[in-house]
Amino acid sequence: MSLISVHFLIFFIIILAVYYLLPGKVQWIWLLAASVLFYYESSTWQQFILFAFYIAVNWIAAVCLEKTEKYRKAVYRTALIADLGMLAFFKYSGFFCQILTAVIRLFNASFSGEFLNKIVRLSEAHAPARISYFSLILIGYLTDVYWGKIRAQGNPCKLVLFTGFFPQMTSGPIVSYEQMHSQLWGEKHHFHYENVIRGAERALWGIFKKLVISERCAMVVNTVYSYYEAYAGFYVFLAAFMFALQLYADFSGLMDIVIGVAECLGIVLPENFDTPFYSLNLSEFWRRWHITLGGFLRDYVFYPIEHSLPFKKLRRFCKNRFGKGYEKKFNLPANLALLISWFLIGLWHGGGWNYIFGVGLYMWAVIVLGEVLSPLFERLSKLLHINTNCFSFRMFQRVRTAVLFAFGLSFFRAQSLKDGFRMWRSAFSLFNPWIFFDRSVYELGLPKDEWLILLFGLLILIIVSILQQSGPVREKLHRQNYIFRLFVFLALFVMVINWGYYGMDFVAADFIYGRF
Amino acid sequence: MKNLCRAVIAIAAVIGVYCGCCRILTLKSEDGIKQMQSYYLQKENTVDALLLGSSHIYCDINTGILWDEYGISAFDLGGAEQPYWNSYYFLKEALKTQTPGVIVLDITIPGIRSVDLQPEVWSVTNLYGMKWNKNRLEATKVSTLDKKFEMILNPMNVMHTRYDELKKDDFVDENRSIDYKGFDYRETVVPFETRDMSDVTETMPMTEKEETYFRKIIEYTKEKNIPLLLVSVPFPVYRYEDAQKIYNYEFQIAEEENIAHIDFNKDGYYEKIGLDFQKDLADEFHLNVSGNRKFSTYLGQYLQSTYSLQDHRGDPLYASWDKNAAILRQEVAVHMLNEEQPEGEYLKDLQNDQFITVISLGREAENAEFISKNRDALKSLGVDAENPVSGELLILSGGKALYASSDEEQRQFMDLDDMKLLLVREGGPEDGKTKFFVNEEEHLLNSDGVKILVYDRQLKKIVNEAEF
Repeated sequence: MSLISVHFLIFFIIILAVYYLLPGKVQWIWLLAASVLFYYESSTWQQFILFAFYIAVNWIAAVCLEKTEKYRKAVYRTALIADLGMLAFFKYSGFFCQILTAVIRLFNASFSGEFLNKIVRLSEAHAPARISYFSLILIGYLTDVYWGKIRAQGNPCKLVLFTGFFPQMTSGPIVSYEQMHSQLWGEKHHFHYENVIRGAERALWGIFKKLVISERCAMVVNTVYSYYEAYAGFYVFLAAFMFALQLYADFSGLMDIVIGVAECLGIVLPENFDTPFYSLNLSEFWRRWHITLGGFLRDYVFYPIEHSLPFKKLRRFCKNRFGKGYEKKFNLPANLALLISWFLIGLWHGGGWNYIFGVGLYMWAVIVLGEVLSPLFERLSKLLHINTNCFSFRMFQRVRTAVLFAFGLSFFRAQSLKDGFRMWRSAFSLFNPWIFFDRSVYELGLPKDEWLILLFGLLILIIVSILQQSGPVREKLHRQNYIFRLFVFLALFVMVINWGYYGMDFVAADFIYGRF
Repeated sequence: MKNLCRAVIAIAAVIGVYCGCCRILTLKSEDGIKQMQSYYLQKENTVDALLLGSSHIYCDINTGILWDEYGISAFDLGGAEQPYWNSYYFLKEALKTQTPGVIVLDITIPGIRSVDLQPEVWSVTNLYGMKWNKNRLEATKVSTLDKKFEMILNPMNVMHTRYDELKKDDFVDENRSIDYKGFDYRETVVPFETRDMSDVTETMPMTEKEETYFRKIIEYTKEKNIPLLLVSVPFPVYRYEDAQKIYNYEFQIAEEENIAHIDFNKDGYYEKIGLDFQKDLADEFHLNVSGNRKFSTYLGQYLQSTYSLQDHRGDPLYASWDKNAAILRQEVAVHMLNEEQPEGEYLKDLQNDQFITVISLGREAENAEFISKNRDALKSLGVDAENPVSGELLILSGGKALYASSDEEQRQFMDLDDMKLLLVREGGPEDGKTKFFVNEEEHLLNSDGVKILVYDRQLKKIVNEAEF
């Protein structure tokens, strides 16, 4: 069930109405029923069983962790291996089988790989929907229990609700048990008009971003990426830039809907975006983009690696070898831990080298290079008398960051790493700035009128982002008169129903991050 | 309480805005939507002849002729490519407010396209004119595949992309009108062979779904005790393999059910009506101005004599049929004007009461062949054709001069009952510009010779633009 559908609207209105009529003690049961129904509706029964099995494994493991002292580590590791194993099997079997086939063919050129292909087909056909999200949520939960940060949830139904709470089940945010448990079943949620209105506003804003902005960008992006051999020069730059916008509007729009829907139910989900295009460098960008994924990898991957025994040894080795203060020049252990984290970020986005490179290793390389070269840039700025503390320089930094991000992201959209590089080779093979003047850009699937609507939509997005810098826009809006707020809501509504890409002439595209 | 009020206002505003957008964006086409919407505006129990079916109905049966010649208050409640399931629901809607003396059903669609599901585009035209009620819901369901049901049911899914083609008509909504009786005539002439289909006697069944709804229509009219007449309207049936066999099958059912029927493509009806497909067809399906006149005259006579339909001419309750007939007559007059050659009756046709004509004489006007060939006619319109003055501008209403001047700078504004006219000349005849505004619409009158622009007050549009 798509979040942008009449089905979902009806489903949600029923859920909402009954939810507030129920006593506090049973509200969570109603949410559980809704979440199970929501998940079941979008899966096959086999996928549903696998989802239940996944939760059962973690529930049993977490309960055992509390009950046993002796086998804690063994239980934790076994459960973790099971979690990661299932994730790897269902999500990455294609990727691993591809590598395995290539390796075997080095020794046996006639190896057909048919058996491996069968495994891939089997895993792909039965992969539980949104496994990338709920597996991380459960791993985080299990690890927190293991670390003693939280107590294991004795009621498996509550664990199902925590994992599969229906708005967040679509594509995050990746929540922690600590953030959610008291909200989901700890307190009675009373009907608050403001919550529902704010939630509806937020959801509508998300739909606007998705249907008016993202889907229009997609028209251009799909044209260029589908026939990339035919497009060179500035077409590639344009498509890469527009894909960054498309993904931002798509994913942040989805998050707005998810958070808005939860807000209507009185549940506050963590933010996943914080105007990332305002970032001055790539490191900051990733702290403001898909925040909960970054937070998960920081807490459950980066820190544990950094504090692991081999890394402690490595730090000691570096100190002895390079002397005190080596971290300032090049912090090898931290950067190595970062490399692993970035590799996993890339891999999480998809089993393909284009993901691992584009949203993983490339980002890591740019961030590390930025840090290493930072003293050089500072010296250069002083030498050239560049004022780095002014609006224009910050603007330059923001544009630079966006360009670096868009370049990496372009591999995410390409069919393969090879295709990504081919595109960029053709980008630099032709100097064709006239495409911006001779109406060629109108031939990319988006006519002139549609471009104007897209630019208008982007203008609204930019204005909101600017306002966001001095405090939440929604707070500002809610300080205004009711009539003004109603007018803003209706204006947004009219734009969505008139300019949105939905209905007969369009194939409603899934949310890009909804596929994980 | 305050919050409750705010919530109610917000929900009402959202619904209001949504409905407003739907109304603006909905197609205003004359292929089913306008017909149904206007039908709802008809006064109760005033429609004596209800004509149901596909475009054959609203292109071939001229309600103006039926009124002018027989005083029959008829309504063409057709829809493009209308299958029987849509005709059935149109019928159910129609009989809610009317009790016609006869229902005429066009049976030709199964012969042309025998399907269980029409393309969405035709479903839209056969559904979106209907009011939101059980019939529309059922009609939508039966017209669409399961997956498309919701898509079609919500008009915004189909219509919201029209935002870049909206026109004045979409906002002012002059679409639905009590004076509109469904007829939409075609002007073109496309010649075809005239071939009587009497030699085809075999039968061939239509699809099960079509037959089900065909029988449902028969059953429903029987239940309502209203006589039903099945007609196969005249068109080149021979171009469609097996079409006549399907019509024979339909008439066979009609025989069994004891329903009146006429196959106008057989038994010498072309001759009886006087139809000649060399000049009476607008395309391979529909009759043109000349064809529909002949056919409507014949059918009207049949309906009046067979079903004893009352002559309502002169009855104020039926004034809208008078208006409808006047509009249709005017459309024919416009058609004649547009067909006329300059040396023919063109200038005479301009004397139509509904025409506002603007004539502009350019610097070469005195040498224009048009002037020399039409001296007398021009003189009767107030133009000194012997010594035409370069730069002269005339405004005529029904052939009578409202304004004439040859000044270099001119600005003439006329606020007539139903329109505002502004004639502006800036600069001299050599390099000047002459503009003519009808309401907000701007037209350029610059020409070296003679330029004529004709605005029709009844049809509310420029109907002829000629340059000689």
